[in-house]
Amino acid sequence: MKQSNLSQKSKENSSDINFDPIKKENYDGTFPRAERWLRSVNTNSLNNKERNFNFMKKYFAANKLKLAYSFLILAFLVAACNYPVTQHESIGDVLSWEVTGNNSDAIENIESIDLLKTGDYTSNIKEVNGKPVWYYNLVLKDLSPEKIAEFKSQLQNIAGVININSVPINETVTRPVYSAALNEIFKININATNKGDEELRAEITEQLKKAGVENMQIELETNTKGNRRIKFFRPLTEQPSNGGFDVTITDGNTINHLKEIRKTQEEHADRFKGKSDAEIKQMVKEDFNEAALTDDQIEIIRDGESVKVKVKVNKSNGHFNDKLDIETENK
Amino acid sequence: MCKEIDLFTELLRPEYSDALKYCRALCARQSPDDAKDVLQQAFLKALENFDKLNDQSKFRSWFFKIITREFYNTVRKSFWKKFLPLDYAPAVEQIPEIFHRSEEEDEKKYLLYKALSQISLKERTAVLLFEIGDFSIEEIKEMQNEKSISAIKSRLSRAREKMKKYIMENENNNFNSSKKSSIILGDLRNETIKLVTEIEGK
Repeated sequence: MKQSNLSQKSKENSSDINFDPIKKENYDGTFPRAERWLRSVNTNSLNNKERNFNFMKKYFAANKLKLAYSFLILAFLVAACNYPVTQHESIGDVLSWEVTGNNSDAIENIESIDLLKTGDYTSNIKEVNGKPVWYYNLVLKDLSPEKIAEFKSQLQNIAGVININSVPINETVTRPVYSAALNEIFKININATNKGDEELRAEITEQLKKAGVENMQIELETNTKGNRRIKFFRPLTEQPSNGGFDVTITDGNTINHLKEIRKTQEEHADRFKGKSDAEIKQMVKEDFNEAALTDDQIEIIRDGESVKVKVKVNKSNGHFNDKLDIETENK
Repeated sequence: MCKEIDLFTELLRPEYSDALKYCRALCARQSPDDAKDVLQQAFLKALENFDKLNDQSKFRSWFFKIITREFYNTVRKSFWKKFLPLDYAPAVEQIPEIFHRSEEEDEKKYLLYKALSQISLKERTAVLLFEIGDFSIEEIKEMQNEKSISAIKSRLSRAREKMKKYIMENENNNFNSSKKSSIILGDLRNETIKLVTEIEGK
């Protein structure tokens, strides 16, 4: 080997590093010692597997306590990783807007927007001060903020469309027991397929009762096409400031998903900053869609930069007569 | 373990000294005790697998390959070594003292070891197989499982360049500082010697 590679080695060995200090070392003198050891090891020692087994045996014996602690820590980690926690996931956005009066052009224009077909929408008509107002709610799932902004701008361009708002829908993913306890959101799933109105009403009432909601009024309507509409009415006094409900109703091929999440104060924290009393009162009136709301009913309490608004509303919606006190504080 | 121990020792005798030099230089960053452990493991592996060696003319490259593999294993396992119990007794009888413990007394050898400890494991292996093992580039290519000769050539030249640079730097540092710092990491003996010297100096 050394001969055959001589030319290659001399060519490659152009290094000016001197390895002689290492090359000059001579260990031949220790060979007899090493040979004796090799012979004794060859006669007495065990093969590799046995060596490893013996090592493991000794190791486990010497570290019983450490291994027990390690096992306990591991068990604790596994348990900790499996502990249920809540996570908030954005599942979409709800867009709401209003159209005042019998503005058929605006309604036609709205219905011609393509994006309207991408989500589920509901429209209700209410009479406000003797004038009809169309309330629209559109649930948009998995739509990018850019698309939502585009949709909003399309709505803004339609004459007669007012109060365009978008609210993100956050879903709380967790086990039901924690969901109810931590987020005050109750979730019910109802299969209405092949069920009569009374049977369905009884089931919804039963499930709501289990979720701790007792005074919800349920109305069932069937339109000319045979589609059933389910309406929930809750007394205003019983509407919580936080929390909400999440109801899924399967009726034949139709699945209705209704979700309401209420959060006061935080979302509106900066709304009244730098506004005059008159501006705040106007904003509150617009919020409540109450043309009849008088300035006396809106009380504004200022403490430095903090603004507290107190509204007293006597609302009659045909089902319940309630008095509502709302406080919005700007901190 | 090995049925033909006589043949094994006969083949080992001419390669013994080079193998020890190679093993000690490979473990330039470690202590002589670590080098002894690597060599012991290599001997045991060689004894175990000697029956599988078909071509006796290849004993040298076969044994150097085993040393290299054991060295890599030791480097990889060095972390787990910390978890060994203090009273841990190995299953086999320990190999007797075979390495010199005077590397740091020889200035040139010290500089070489220090430079070797500063280059990568692959570069160190290649340069030592070439210089100490006297293997050809073709053989090193086989031993390092490389596909091309040029890869080994460039590795060798890179290693030499780095070593040259480190040797010069270390020479200058040593010239400026009379106290020589140990290159060996995590060796209790070296650390103790350093501490004792410092205390005695005070």
